[in-house]
Amino acid sequence: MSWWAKTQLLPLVVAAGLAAAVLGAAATGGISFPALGGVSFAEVPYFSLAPLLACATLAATTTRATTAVLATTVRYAALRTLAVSFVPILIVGITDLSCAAWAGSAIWLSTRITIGEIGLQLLTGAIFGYRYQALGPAFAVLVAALFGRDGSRAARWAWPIDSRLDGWAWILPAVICGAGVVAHLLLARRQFRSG
Amino acid sequence: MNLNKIGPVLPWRTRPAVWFIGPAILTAALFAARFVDRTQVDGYWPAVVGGSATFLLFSCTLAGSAAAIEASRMRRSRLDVSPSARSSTRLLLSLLGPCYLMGLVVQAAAVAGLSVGTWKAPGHPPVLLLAAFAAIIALHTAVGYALGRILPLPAAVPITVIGSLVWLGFAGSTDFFPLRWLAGYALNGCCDVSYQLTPAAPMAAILFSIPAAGAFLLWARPRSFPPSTAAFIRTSAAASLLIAASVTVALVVAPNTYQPQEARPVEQTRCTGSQPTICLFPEQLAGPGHPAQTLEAAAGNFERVGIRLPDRLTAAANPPAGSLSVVVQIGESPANLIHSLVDSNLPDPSTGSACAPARATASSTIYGIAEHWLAFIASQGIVDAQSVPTTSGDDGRLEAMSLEQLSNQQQLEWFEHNVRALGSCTRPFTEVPAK
Repeated sequence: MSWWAKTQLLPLVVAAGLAAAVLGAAATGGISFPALGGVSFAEVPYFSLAPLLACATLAATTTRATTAVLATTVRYAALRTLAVSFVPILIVGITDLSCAAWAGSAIWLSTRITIGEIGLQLLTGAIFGYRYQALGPAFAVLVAALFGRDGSRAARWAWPIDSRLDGWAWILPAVICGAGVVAHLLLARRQFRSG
Repeated sequence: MNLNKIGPVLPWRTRPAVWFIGPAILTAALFAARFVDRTQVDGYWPAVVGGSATFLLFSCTLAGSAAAIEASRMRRSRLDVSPSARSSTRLLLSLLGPCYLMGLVVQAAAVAGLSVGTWKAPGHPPVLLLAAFAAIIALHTAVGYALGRILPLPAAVPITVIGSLVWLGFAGSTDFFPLRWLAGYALNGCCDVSYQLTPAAPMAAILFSIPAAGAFLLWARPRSFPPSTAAFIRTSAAASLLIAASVTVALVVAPNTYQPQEARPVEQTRCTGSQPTICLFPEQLAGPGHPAQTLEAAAGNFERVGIRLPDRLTAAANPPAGSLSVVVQIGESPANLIHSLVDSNLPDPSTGSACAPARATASSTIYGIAEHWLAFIASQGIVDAQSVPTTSGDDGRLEAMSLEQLSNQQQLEWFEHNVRALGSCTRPFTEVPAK
């Protein structure tokens, strides 16, 4: 962590996490895509887009940091990267606790989606390489926006655009986050070396 | 040296646009199978090409993300700052050409897929719409390239993907209508067969996208980043061009309308028959079924019981005085055509629902009876009356059957009185008389 702090990458990640938390809570509404014939068929809420800011920043900083210190300290680098990956989740979560009184449920949605998107990012990075890790959350939002409709509301699997906050809605992001952590620790060695 | 063996500078297999083309077309096909109802556009070229604007989500995302990866490669290889025998323009063309081309291929595939039922229809694809798509894809390619130049690859690609989605979706659905036509996604609202494309809508997309793409390329062109007076002038020129294009097109060119369509001129209809004359557009006449004959037969049924129709029934959205406008979709079934004709003969149901609650309920009931009764009359000898869809559902069906048992004179008196009453909130209704 000290290396991250010294190279000024950590403040960048913290700032992105804060921005994502504030944007996720403050921006109400979303983007309605007009389907063929002009009738709206899907809405992508702004709270699902805000965490992508943290994801993109994290992806850029992670790639830069890991390529610099890899050669001999892969395991420590993997652990440090994992620790830093949880910074945006912590920031958004802490902001939640502070702001839940005035921001209502929107900020909890922001936390849930941040957990899922950071987890997906770790998973994508472990499988496809860290250079492409932020593509996972971005494409998850894209696919959910295009296909994740069940009648007039979001489908259960489309957690990036789902505005429900019941137990089921937390399960998928939590599972993805767990899988991301495991994959990161198991596959990081190979992926760090390939960049 | 065997010149035939010389390939492109970078082999095709290493180009991200080529990696993405298969998944993009596959995803677009899945999306089309799940959400796109082709019958809405079949038989009318502006509707087919306009509808394919929905697939800009795929073509623009592909072109933008591929361009971001290409730019990032250029950045990492220092090609953007090192001297080169090739000019900046040639360098850009070789990098961005495949990205743009593959974006066009996805869009062309979307147009081709949507046009399957339209190949033999009259008319041709609107060139202006196709040009607008080409310009919009060029803009997203240029934005992807610019983001790839300034951001590291891990951030540039996702931001490009989400940027394309947000620009197309947000601008395409905003309540500030001129902005819709700058992004171009809302062109998918074009067009019902009685309407034609408003040329200003695709023109706005073209006139915004091309200068904006030029501005991004000018700003992020190779060898433009070392601080210098020339680079400063280029950045200022690019920013000015972008702002000028946005403001001018939004305020002057883009139409301030919800949909990119306007009523087709009545002169484009072809008329047949007399008493009444049926005027339809060529696409409606060329489509499956025989809408003119069905409407003529239904109008004949009305005349037989004494319901007077205007001398001309027309599919034009802006009918001339003394004509009755009937909504006719291409390939519509006889039952649906009769439904259209029936509803054209009744006042707008929203008139009644705007009255006091008790009156609105009574209006709804009377509307149902009148609609079912007209459907019984109009469908005789054409289709089974039960198959004719109605706006009011089953409400009023039984009363309409009772009405049909009365003498012609009684039926007609009841109908004429109550149709007049439906157009007001005060005129009293009459019940269906007992036999």
